Amino acid sequence: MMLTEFLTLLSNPDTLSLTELARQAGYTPDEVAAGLEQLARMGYIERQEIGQACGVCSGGRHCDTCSVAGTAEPFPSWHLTEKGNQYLSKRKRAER
Amino acid sequence: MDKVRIALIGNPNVGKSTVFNALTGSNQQTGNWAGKTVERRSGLAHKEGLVIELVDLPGTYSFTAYSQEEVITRDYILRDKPDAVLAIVDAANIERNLYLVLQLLEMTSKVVIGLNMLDLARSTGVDIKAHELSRILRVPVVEIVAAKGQGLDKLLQAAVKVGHSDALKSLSIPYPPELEEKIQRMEEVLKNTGLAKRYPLRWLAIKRLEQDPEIGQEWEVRAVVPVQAHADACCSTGNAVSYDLKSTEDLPGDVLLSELAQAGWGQEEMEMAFADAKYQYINQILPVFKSQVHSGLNLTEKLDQWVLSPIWGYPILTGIVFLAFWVSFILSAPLGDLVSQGMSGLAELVVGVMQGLSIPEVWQSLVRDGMFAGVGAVLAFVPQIAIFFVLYYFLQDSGYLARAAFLGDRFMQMLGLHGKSFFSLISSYGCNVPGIMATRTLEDPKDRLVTILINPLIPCVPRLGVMSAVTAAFFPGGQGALVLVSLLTISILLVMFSALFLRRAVGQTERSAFVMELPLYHLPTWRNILQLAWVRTYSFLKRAWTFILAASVIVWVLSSFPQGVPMNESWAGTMGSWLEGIGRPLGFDWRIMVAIVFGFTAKETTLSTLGILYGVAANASQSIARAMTTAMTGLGAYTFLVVYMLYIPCLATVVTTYKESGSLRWTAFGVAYNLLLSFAVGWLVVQGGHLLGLH
Repeated sequence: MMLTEFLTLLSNPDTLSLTELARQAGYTPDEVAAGLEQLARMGYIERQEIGQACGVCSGGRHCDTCSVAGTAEPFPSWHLTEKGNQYLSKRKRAER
Repeated sequence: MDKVRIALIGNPNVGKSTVFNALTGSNQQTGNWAGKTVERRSGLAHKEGLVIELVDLPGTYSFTAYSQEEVITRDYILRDKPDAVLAIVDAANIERNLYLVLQLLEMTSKVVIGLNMLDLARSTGVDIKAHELSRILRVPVVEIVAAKGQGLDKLLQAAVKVGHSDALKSLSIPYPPELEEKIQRMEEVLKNTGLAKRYPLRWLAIKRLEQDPEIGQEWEVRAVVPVQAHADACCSTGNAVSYDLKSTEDLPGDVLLSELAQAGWGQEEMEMAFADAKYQYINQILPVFKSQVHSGLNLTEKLDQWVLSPIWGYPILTGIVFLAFWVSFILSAPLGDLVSQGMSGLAELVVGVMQGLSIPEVWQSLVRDGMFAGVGAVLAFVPQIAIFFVLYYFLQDSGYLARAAFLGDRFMQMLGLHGKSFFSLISSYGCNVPGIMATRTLEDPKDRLVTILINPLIPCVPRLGVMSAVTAAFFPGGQGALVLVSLLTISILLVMFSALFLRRAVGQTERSAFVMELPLYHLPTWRNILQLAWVRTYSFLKRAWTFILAASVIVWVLSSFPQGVPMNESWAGTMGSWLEGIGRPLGFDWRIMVAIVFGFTAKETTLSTLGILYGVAANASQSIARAMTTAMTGLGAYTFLVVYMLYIPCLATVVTTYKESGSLRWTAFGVAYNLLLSFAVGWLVVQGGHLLGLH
């Protein structure tokens, strides 16, 4: 259950790099990346980038000084969504 | 058959449109799909007297109903039934691409796979055995390089051949037994319905189990009559199915679905189980057709073994930050002096011209002691700030800053802060305003509030710029770099302490983490770095001749009136004398207290205010750095830096705190907390310094 395994690892309190997640789950980083994208399409996780707040401050003066504004490589990360959290809670209840 | 209709599908950016353009040339028609805003492209190709119509379907990742593109692509394949489907697959990302192919194979067996970008995959040591993939999936697989037009003739030939042939026995993905049993039960329910004649039964059963919303819509419109005709056959399965379909709830299979839901197989569980099974299957078959040349660890992996190590990562991070500050101090020191001298010379020149024109003394003083002293004090630090930005973007462009952020979050885990809080804090190193706005991604109001309140303790780039400028004045070279590293450490420790304290205050308990994608290390592009550094430096400069100029005039008025009195008896001096009592335990004179108050409007104003109050432009040999070192001891400067780093960040941040928290009470608490904390820590620094015999 590869996708469920990724979701479970994401619910742990430790922040992981994609390579670490791959190592822990026993898959290649490419397989993990593909799985995470699938989970995101299904709405269980979401991709966010540092400096994303620039999108909400309407290009004002402070956006000029946002840490990653205008850079080609922001720091992307994957987070559990409400749907993902609910799914895992339901799963835990069922397992009990 | 004199005409063959071939559909092209694929994930976005796999080269599908390149294949379409190469095969159709200028024989293309574009428009929109009926009732949709998605572009429809079709074109004609001619081969051996045969007319081939190619339809370029929208790029999509799956055939569920998450987007218009997915629905269009799926409907075209199922309803319009093209003679063959060309699935373009990116060989370098085959794990992702095969998910779509597996879904396609559940809908039709008349498929040809175009294995694109194999050259790119091979350059990274990945090889795909097309014949093995073809054997497993039971469809032709043709190697192509779309960008060079290689293999396209063969691809089209294979598609035409499949188009002319009868439907082959399609691949049946081996689902786990628990899913197979459910598919079979659903197939039993659906097999005699009208839709089963139009769509592949297995696919229909899976979609019904997943409770695909588009399937529901489909049945409401089309299934009433044919299904009625088979009511008896259906009901003999024991399911009480109503065929008088008016809503999705009445679809055949509802009884089975509710039975499964009661057993813990709701819609989400089904959807996840089928997606999981497909990925599991992909992982099973991958080793058969994909091989990777292992050449040991690559550079990024080798470096990350050290850089991300829980033991070595933090000393390396400290070393890199130290080095960055040290380099910026060494390079900027002579440039800063040049700017100071230039500004003083220019002030004298302008004042000389004003004297020649007999302009009154008060206006000359405004220009020299207000405008030039204030703006000049800020401009003297521009080289320092510009070099700081260059180093900052160098670290970011090289891929290291992402690692620093990753290490920082590990540190924050000890506080139990929400993973998304960390993102807000990192954004605050750029500017606290977007940093506080970034808390909008936190769902829990308590998480949000804690993050908003600790946010101002992170020094933003303008604050760091002024801090590094003041540090450079007092602590040259390596000593200055050490001072700045210690200041950042104090800031991080206080963020940790405050998070622990505030989490208790608001009753926040949980933490959730995240997975971070770390970029590969690479040599930074100087053009990119210099461009970004210039944008930030220019933004700083722009403020110097707009906001800072206006603030300088105000400070000059306050420090020059009433006229004819010494500066310490001016309005600014009077204000300073009220505040002197607060600053005295920390060794701050009235000038520094006034500068701290003015710094509340914008951090750079602190420098311009000090420039005016220390009378920088009145004496050409006097730079702001020299004026400050004469007025303050090293311990006093360090205390000033601590207080400056921690007290209320700026007016814009306070306003944003109010807007985002929606609470005047918490905003006031935040302001009071920052003020008290900054002066308390400043006092501790002074006392600690005295204990160590420092002055």
